[in-house]
Amino acid sequence: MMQRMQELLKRGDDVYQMIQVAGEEGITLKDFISYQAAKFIDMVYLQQDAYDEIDVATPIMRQKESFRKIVELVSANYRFTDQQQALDYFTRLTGLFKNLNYAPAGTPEYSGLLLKINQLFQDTQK
Amino acid sequence: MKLDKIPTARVVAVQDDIVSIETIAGVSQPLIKNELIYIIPGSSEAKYTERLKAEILRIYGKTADAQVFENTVGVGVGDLVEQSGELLSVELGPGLLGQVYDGLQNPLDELANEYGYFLPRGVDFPALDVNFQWSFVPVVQVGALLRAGSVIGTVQERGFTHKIMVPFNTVGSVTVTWIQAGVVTVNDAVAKIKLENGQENTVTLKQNWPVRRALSTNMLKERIATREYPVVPLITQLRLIDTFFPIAKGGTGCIPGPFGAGKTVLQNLISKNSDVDIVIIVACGERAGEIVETITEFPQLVDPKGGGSLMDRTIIICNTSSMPVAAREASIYTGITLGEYYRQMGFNVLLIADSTSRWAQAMRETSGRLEEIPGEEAFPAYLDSAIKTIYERAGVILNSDGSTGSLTMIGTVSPAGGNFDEPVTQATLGTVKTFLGLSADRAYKRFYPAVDPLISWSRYISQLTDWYEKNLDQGWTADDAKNAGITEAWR
Repeated sequence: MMQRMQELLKRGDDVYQMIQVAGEEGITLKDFISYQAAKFIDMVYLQQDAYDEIDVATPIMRQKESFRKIVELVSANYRFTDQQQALDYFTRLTGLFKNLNYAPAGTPEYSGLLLKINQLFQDTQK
Repeated sequence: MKLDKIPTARVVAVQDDIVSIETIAGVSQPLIKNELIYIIPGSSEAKYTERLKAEILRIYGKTADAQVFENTVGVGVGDLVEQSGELLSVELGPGLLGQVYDGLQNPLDELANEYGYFLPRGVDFPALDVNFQWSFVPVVQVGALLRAGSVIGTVQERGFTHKIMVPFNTVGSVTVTWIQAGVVTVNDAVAKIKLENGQENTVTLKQNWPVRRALSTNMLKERIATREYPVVPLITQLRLIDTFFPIAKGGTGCIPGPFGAGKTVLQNLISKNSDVDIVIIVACGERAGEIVETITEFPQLVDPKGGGSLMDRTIIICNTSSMPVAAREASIYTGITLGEYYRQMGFNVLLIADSTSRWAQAMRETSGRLEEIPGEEAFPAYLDSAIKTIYERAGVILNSDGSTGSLTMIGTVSPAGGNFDEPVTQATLGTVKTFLGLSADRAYKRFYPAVDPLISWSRYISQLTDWYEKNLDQGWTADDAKNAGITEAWR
C-alpha cells in the first residue's frame, strides 16, 4: 500500500513537470487525476500542522485509519467529464480531510466529517 | 595557586586551541592518547585557579599535542600541566535527567548560579549533584555472583527506576561482600564487590566512562549483553515518517536540509512526540537562540507519556556556536555515552544531534591545526569513519537481566547551500538507514514538515515489515501496485 502511494506521488510529480511545459490543457484527464490525487495525499497526509494540538501528533492507529481511507479514495475509478470536475472534487475532498485531521478522534465532529467525505466519494461513483 | 596534583608536564608550544606539552624530567608520568590533562595558565588573573581542560590527541616520545576545550588566551610556553591519567570521561549515575550540560558535562545551571551567565573558563563542576540524597534499594544479597553491568539495586529518578549496575569495565565475575539499603549521595558507598583477583572495590551510585569508547564494548565481548536486530519502528506520530520513511527503534536516521527548511522544528517535534523513554538532545554548534527555545519550552510542556514535564525525561547537551570548538567535537560523544547508559537500563533512548555538520567542522578545524593531510573540502581523510563510529553506537541491546534497551540516533546535517553532494552529507548517507531530505522548495510553499517524499528513503522497510503486517494492515509495506486491482487512473 505504502509503496503504491509513493509511486503515485512520483507520478504526480511527473505530471506536474509536464504541466510546467504543456500547461494543464496540454495533459490528459487521466494524468490530471493522478496529479490531483498525488496533491491530495501531500496536502492531507504528508503535511501536518505543528500549531494544531490534534494534527501535530497522529497516533499510529489513527494513521492506519486515515491512510486506509486515503488509499481507498485515490484508488477508486473516477469517471470525471472534465478537469474542472476533477479539480472541484479534489479541492472539496482536501478541505474536508484537512478538517478531519484537526478533529479529535471519536468525536461527533470526526464522524460527521468522515460521513461527508464518504458521501462526497459515493456521489462520484454513481 | 592551589593544585590538585603535581604538574608533570609543561607547555612547549601554543597554536590556537592546540597546545604541545612535554613531560618534566624527574616527575614525568606516561602520556596516554585521549588522556585528559589540565593546563594551568601562568599569567591568569582569575580569582580562582584556572585549569583548562584538554585532551591529548597525538604523542611523540615525551611530547604530545593536545586540544584545549577552552579559550587559550594567556597560555604560554612553560605553563604547568597536570595529567589526570584518565581518558575524557563522563559521570554516569542518577541525576542526569532534566539537566542541561555543556559538551564536557558541566551542569550549566550550576555554573550560572556560581559564576553568573558569562561562563568563566577553566572551571570544572561535578556533573551530578553531590549533595542530593537518593534512596537506594538493593536487589541482590551478599554473596551474589555478578558480572559487569549486573544490577545491584535501584533508585527512583524522576519517575524512572534507575538501575545501579556493577561497573561496566569489570572483567570476569565479582562477588558482593557488602550491600546496604539507605539514603545516600552519589559518592557514598552502597556495596562492596570482590573481583576475581581478590581485590575489593567499592560501588557508589555513580561511575565514570570514557566517552570515546562504546559503553557496551566489554559486555558484548564477554557475551553478557547481545546486540539485537532492530525490528520495531520508532513511532514519531509524524505521518510522513511513520508511514513512508520509518526509523527503527535502535536505528539511525539523518535530516539534511538547507538553512531555514525546518530541521530544528522537525527535530523538536520528533523529540516531543516519539514513543521513547528518554530523549537526549545534543545541540552541537547551533545558534544559541535555537537551543534557548528548547530549554525554555520543554519544562513547560506536559509529557504526553507521563503527565510530568517533558524536561523530566530529557537531557540537553548544549555546545552552541559561541562555545569552544574543541568541546563541540566532544559533545556528541558525551551525549551518546549518556544514551548508552540509559539503554543499558533497558530504556528506549532517542538521541538527536543538531547538527553533525558543525561537529564535522570542529573536527576539520582541529585536524587542520594538527597539520593532517586534508581530504575533500579540507575535512580530514577519516571523516567517513568518524561519522560511522558515531552512528554505529546506536542499536538495540539485550542486557543480562533480560531487559532490552535501544538507542536511536537522528542527526541533522546542514549542507551549505543545500548541496547534498558535500562530504558530510555523503558520508552520513552511506551510514544511516533513513534519510529524511528537507527541501527548500517545500518549505517555501509552507509544506511542513518539509521532508521531500521524492528524495527521502528508508532502508528499514523490509526489516519492519513483520511489525507493520502484525500491527497495521496486511500488505502495508508490500509492493502491491501490480496486483491490487488498482485503477488505471494513474498507471
